[in-house]
Amino acid sequence: MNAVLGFLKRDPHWPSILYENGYRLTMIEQPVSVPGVGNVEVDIICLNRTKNHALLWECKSGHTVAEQQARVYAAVSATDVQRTGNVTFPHPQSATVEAIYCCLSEDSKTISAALKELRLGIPIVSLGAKAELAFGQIKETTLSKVFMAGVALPPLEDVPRFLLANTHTSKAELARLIFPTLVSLLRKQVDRISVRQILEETFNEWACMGTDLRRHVSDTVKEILLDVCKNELKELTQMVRTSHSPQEFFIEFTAGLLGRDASARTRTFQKFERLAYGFVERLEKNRPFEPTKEPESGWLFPIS
Amino acid sequence: MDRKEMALLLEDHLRNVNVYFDREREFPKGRGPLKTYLLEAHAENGEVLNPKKAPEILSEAAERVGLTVRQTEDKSLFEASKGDVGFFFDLLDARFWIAHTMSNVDVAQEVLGAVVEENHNLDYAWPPSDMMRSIQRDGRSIGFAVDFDETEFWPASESTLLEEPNAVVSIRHSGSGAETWVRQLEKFAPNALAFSMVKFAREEKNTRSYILQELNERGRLKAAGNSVNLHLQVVSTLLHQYKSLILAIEESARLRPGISDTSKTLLGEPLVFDFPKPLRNFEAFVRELVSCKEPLKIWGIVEETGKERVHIEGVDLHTGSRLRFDLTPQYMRIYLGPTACGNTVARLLRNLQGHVDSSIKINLPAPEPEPLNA
Repeated sequence: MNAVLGFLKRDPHWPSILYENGYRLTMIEQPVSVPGVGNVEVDIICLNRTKNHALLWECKSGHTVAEQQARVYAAVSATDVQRTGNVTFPHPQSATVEAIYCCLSEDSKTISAALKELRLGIPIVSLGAKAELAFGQIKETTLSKVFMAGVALPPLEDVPRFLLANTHTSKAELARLIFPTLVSLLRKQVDRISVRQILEETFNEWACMGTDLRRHVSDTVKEILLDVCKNELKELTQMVRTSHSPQEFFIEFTAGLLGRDASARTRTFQKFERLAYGFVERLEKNRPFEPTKEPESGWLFPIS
Repeated sequence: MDRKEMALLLEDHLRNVNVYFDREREFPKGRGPLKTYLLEAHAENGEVLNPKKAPEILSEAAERVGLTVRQTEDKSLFEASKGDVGFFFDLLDARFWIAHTMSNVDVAQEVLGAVVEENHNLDYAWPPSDMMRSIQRDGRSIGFAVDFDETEFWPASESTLLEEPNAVVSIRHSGSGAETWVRQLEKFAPNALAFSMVKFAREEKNTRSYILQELNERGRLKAAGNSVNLHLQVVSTLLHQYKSLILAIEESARLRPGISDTSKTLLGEPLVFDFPKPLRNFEAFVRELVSCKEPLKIWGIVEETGKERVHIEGVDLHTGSRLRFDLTPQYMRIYLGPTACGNTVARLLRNLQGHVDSSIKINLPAPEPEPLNA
């Protein structure tokens, strides 16, 4: 997904294929429903306001095609995207949409064979040495020409990371993202930290996430916060339940935790570094909290 | 005391400077040049300061190091003193502060250094090397210092350094042939020309006014001459250029939601610093980057995602804002959070120029327009 998101932005190390063709990110992981056919969770929706045209990207991490999903993508209309995908077009009546599959070049043959078998003409853009059209036709002519010619890509590991989490992101990966936000809020001396604040400060793309993805991330982050506050941060924080909802809570850091002078503050931040590595490692290895266990990360030890 | 009186006092000091720039440490009892510092300030929680809050932040910050602050008759001008050391703080711009001092450079630096160190929400200005040169060339170049030292991020032995003629370059030149020297150095050490000081003269022939200035890499100007007005013009130019850079970084590189009545999108682009030659010791560099220590002041947890390739989830300890990095020996990609401070990028760039490669540049894309409401 980050490869397509990168096409929508202007990173110097990643081609801005969609940005340069007037497309802007509108939604991430947004459910769209097609009456009588079914529902899909569209990975990325981007909109060209001048052309009044939206692209619905399905980013495949493997090489399988789910028939039901493919049939929904083949049938989806601008009305469905507006009514159930919460996208606003400049001219609703004349709006157009099209779905595109995106996959790694080594998977494109299998995916195109599967679509052929289903007699569905959804175009496939494959990513390898180039981003290129591997199957079908893109309706939007300018973009079609661009992908037919192919655009050279850097190694995929250079893709910029705009999207940090999706429904498959593990707890350990989420913990690696949110622990630094706790440190950020500690440094900012925020008295009461809400889960919403942590989410918004961690995920720059939060506003563009679909509502289901947000709920999923939010619920998992709450579990992570409860865990860390009961274990690694037990002596340093307290949880305060909100009066309006027993499910909601705030986190408060112990008063004076940062210390009075610069060196005390630095020591506190270094302590939080060890706690962060320890917490992420514990979740990665799915083991219980052991207060005396030091993290194993090689990045914590000074160079000899 | 008001601005006019301050200007008279500073001009009187300028006219009577009797210890030349480089000699001030040797003759601490003499009258050294006038010093002016550019500082960048936030509220303690990292938020943007407003003009009403700035004096309060100054008082709190000064109090921590024993400086006493007094309001002058000008609401944006303050006097601060501790023993023999005194400053005028000009808070006309609530975020970019100017501090003038006539005190000896070492003691003034010690006190101001303590103010910045004890208050994470304050920072020096970090003008990039090319900005320093551009300000210098607005006048007549009369000197420079180059301090380039790769060993800061690359622990190297003496014998290794013998093989690397430009790994540590330290040159101080004074004289009107400065530009000729720089042109020669550009041939020999183009990647090690990290200017830690530029010296220049400006004059107004009609009024026979002149000023000699030294600008260093932490936004400090030292001045001698006969016109405080010329000095204040240079200070104003520095502030304007530096502030424009910081605001441009924030406008184009803060990743933030762009929300209107009809659309939501993600605004801002990551910044990329390309390293003209690969980092010599990747691991040492990463550790230094997230050491929490001065000057970088960055907290972070590192995830190794490949051979010599890491992702860092970080916090800028200056303002507390979130930031993240993708780092390889070839480049650094920086993702700034929605409230990140551009000064952090300038500080990082300045340190990369001084310790990795002086030709590292910042390339900012044109800002994207915010989505329009229907």
